[in-house]
Amino acid sequence: MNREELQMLLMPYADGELDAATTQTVEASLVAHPELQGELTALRDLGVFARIGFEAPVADVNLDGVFAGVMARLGDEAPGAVKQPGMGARVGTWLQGFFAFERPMALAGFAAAVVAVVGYVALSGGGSQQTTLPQNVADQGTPGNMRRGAEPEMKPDGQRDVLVRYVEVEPGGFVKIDDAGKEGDKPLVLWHVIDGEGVSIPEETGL
Amino acid sequence: MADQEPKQNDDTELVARILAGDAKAFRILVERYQRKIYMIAFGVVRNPDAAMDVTQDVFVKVHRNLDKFKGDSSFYTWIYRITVNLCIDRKRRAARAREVEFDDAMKHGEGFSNGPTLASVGIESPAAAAQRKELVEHMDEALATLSDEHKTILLMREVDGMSYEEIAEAIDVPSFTVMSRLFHARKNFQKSLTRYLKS
Repeated sequence: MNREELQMLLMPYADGELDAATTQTVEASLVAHPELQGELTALRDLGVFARIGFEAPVADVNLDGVFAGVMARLGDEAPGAVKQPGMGARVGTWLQGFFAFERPMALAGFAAAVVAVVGYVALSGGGSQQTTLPQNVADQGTPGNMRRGAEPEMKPDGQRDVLVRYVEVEPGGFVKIDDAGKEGDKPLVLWHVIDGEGVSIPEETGL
Repeated sequence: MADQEPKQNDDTELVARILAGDAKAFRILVERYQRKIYMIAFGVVRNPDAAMDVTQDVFVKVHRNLDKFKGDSSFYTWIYRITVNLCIDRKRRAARAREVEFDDAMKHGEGFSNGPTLASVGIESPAAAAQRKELVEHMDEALATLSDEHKTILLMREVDGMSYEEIAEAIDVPSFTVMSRLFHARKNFQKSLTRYLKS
């Protein structure tokens, strides 16, 4: 082992980190390099100085109050106890439970409301006469700003298909009409928008 | 730290007792480690009040997270890691001392020769050194110049006698980094020490 190799192993040797075989090799090599003995001494004494530096200032410190201080900070917590969740976590847990266990009921309620609305609309329009749309609204418009289909489209609505179309009205608005497409059915105006705001249905639509 | 194996078993048993609701066991744990923890804290923060505050924080954190201690590492390593992290959090040091590779420095002949020794400062034994008040003050001043990382690693090795592997586990770095960091911690300590002892 040359001097450079020996010097590199000096610190792990002093720290007792080398295996038995390498330790023996280092010790044998140190005989051949006595100048490194001084370095080894300096390294070991450095440890002594460090221990003094760390231990001496705290040797006489009174630590009797540590446990009481810790318990005061902890209050009444039991060691290892499950921490109480905060308000946000509790609300989150409640909502999670609600949607996990109450979802079927919530969905059933929503479905019942939809059925009631559809039923009401169907019954209220069932006995009326067919309404003919005025010419200016009979054309299917293109509600580009509504991001709806420009062309009429058939959408399933329960047991019947509904023709959805958009009729342009003045000034620059659209009426969305759901039409069952059967004779005797009155078109259903679901909503009316002019420049993005809901307004009353214009008279010229005849709806 | 081979002699700590029986203690490690004691710690595991103590932790189990605390988790089972034994309040006395927690007190035993605190009293067993409070001086060590305080010493680590003081070693890093270098302020008695701050060290006491960190010490109590450590045990509060231990208490609250004891159920998360899985026993994969020793309890001492676990609590050591908590302590060091709390110390460093407290000081919020943004910049970290730049490390250079251990072997590069060694290849340039940067060993520990010409450093102060007990003999060079006219002291015949470590016990006698500890009784020299001015020497203790110099050690304290020299340690205060080190970075938190260097103080911590020096403390782990020189005071607690932890192996490179144990230190690596405690501070979550590879063993080789431990050796490099320890080398530079010692070099810096030696430089500071030489300066203070000469002055």
